[in-house]
Amino acid sequence: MPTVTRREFLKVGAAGAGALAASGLGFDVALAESNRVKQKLRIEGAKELHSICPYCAVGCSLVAYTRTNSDGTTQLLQIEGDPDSPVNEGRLCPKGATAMQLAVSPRRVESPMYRPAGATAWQKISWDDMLDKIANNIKASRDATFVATDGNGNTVNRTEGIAFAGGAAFSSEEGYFATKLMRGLGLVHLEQQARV
Amino acid sequence: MAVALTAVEPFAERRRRVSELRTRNGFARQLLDFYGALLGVQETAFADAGSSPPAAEALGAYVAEVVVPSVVDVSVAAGPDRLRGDLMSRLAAEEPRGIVERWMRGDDQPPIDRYLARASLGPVLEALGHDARSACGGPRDARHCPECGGPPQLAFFALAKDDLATGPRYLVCARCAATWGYPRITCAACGEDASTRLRIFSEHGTTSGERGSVVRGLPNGGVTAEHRAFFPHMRIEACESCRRYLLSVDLAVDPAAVPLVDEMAAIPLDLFAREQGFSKITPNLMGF
Repeated sequence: MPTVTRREFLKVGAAGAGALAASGLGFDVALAESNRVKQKLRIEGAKELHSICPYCAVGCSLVAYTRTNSDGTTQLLQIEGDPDSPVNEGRLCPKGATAMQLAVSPRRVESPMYRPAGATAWQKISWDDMLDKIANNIKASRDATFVATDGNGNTVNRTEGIAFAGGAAFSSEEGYFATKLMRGLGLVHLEQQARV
Repeated sequence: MAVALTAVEPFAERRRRVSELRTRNGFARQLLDFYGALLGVQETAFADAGSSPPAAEALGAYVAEVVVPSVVDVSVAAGPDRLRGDLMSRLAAEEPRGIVERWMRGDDQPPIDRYLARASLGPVLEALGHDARSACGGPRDARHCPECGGPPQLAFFALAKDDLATGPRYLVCARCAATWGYPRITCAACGEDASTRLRIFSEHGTTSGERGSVVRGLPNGGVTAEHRAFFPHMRIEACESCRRYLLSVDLAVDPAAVPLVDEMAAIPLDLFAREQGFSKITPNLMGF
């Protein structure tokens, strides 16, 4: 919230008006040469935004630097630790420091890849085909290995034939969601590659 | 809390940087050559005030008597014609003590008065301690110098202690060159902290993403920027609420930078900001 008194406003305004009279002291050569350099500058407006690292419960504060290009698109250009945050005081762990790769990475695989049994090469498939394939496999394995009661007659309702491993780039929320989903299916073998 | 800008004696650092920038930024050579000459006078004033400090209540008279004559001499000998002419006519009409004391009070002044007062008083305030600085007027709030109440000249990001850390932001006082911590994403003129109202102008190729590195401050990932930036370590920080701006220097990108000198030599960025309709919180010593 801006707070500026009327007197300060008038004073700063007067100072700004003074600057407009450049070069008030007569540095006209520097001014003319700087004007030529200014014509060559490639500058677009950008913004800094606060964000939070998605990877763990520490909740380190981030500053994300985005630029609006002349065609109206927004580009994420830099992520760094927020030095004003009492949580991390500008620091990030090696994983958080590379958070930009979660959003922007030239090595990102952009569609699901499928390697049929016995094949040697991966092939692109659609998202719908991938979801159908995973759903069918989960159902088949769950039906085949579902244990309703253990040897003592206790109700356990568990799926022993499927294990789940979460990826290193899971956010805290994705990890929570995946765990709820897998527990709902009865899985007991859950692991998460969440190492720094 | 105010901290020292650099660990070493400030004027040697400024001379070194002037020498580097006059080669790198040829467009500012006229200004830097003059500033280099002025630095010699300011360094003497700094040393003299440090060895025999004047009383805080006599600061204006001391500066007018001891420092102003040397500043006038070097300005006449090495400054541009207009500076020379304006100085002569102002000093014929007004006592230098009044000019210096108005700057100490924070009154509005024409550019030539501001120049004379700043060039003369600045090194003396730098040399003296808290008592002398507190003789100056101005608000003691987050947006003004905690030592002397002066306005911020520029911002800089300090070097961080760790590789994967970002250094804090500091403001530098236009009057006594003291520095104080100030949050990022906050206007130094009006305190606006809505990121949608704060605009940053930096050249293409100056962010870590454009240099092919996902981590700020680490070496690039082998990507050469398509456009060579004139000011890879600098940017304009502007506010749409109050229409003010200041320049910011990132020491993580160029640890050899001396913020006060780099800011003075970045005239093209000032011209760009002005073209966008923003005015500087405080014009620098050279009036830009």
